[in-house]
Amino acid sequence: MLLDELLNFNSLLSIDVAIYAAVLAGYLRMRQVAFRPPNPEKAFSLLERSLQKAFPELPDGFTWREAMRQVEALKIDVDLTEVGKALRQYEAWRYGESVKPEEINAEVVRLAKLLSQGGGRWHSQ
Amino acid sequence: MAQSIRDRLITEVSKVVIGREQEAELLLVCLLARGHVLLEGVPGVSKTLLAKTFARCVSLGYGRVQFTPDMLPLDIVGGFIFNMKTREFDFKKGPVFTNILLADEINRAPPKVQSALLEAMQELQVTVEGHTEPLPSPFMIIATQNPVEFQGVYPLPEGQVDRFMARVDLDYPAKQVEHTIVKHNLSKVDAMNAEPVVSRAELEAALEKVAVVKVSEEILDYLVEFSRASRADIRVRLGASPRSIVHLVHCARAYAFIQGRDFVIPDDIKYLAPYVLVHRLRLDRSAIAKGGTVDARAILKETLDKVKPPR
Repeated sequence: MLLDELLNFNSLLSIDVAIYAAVLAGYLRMRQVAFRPPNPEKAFSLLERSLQKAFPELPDGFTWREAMRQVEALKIDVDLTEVGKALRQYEAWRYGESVKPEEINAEVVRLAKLLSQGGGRWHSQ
Repeated sequence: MAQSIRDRLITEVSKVVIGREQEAELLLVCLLARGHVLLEGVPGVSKTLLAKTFARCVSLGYGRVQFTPDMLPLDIVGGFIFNMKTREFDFKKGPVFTNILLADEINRAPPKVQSALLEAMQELQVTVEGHTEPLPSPFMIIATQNPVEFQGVYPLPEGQVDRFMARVDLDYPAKQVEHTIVKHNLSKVDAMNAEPVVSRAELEAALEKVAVVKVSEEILDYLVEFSRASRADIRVRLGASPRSIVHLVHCARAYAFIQGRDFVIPDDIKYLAPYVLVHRLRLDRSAIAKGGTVDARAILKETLDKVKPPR
């Protein structure tokens, strides 16, 4: 009798653990999906918001390149050459009627994410 | 090709004029934008040498006029001279009939002489006694003036100043650059030491390409927004005129071209705005008297910081 109860308890516990793990995995995945913007336009819009958050002193009239010069000074762990390349493609589309970039540069998203998480913290570096 | 024109030109100019790379680039931008430049600086900062060397490097016709208080318009644009053989009046072209005219110390000439250049600068032609003569193309005036003189000078009126696409201020060089200048001048320095490095054909091709550099609608909106903001500032009596914004957009196209792009970005506008606009801004004396900012450059920067560019 006691053995049966113990077995039931153990099986319930493992079921609980499995359920919680699945919920947690689902939540994490949802966050990841929610963070990934669907197109380059959104990626740069996200970067814009992150830059404003990380550099509150940036004036309303800031340009991408001015903001990137600030980022360069941070020594943040992002491949800025890749970001620069993505920015040039974005500029060519945005201002030069060039083809819209199809791929979202992962480094742009990563930079946005890091800046957003770091906020003013990056200034101390 | 664009990048190489810029690089070749700057390298060659730097052989003669030390530490004026940025100024040489701005001269090229204005030439490609079909504009005129006012070089301003105290005596001895290489204004004339820079202009002469630049003209030599681009393989264009070059003329120089030293402006003096006793000059007449005839000395610049030319006039009708009686031909004894034909018994008729022939039009004799003045020194303005060239590609690059160095108007040295332009503020030493009286207003009537300065005004004689207005038609040439704006309409690229000269009219004397009803006779209109077109100027060669491209045509560019590089004028120099010294901002610290008050005796025997005639400050350029607003209308004249507005015709200059850009004003480039030449400050004293940095210590290391000054050292290099002194060392460089131990032997004879002359604009003739520079070689023509940009051919006329290359220049004409570049002018055609600049004319098709794209300017998006959003950039145009940004420019208009910015010009209106500059006029709305209570500290400013005369803000950015529509002509100045047209000059700015042409300059931005030329700058984008020498940077290897076929489209203008907001950074081009922000970089060039001080060169194109500061000399046209007139500040309100009453606002200044109340203790506001007295520097047109600082006011312009504030305006640029306020207006959001397309991102």
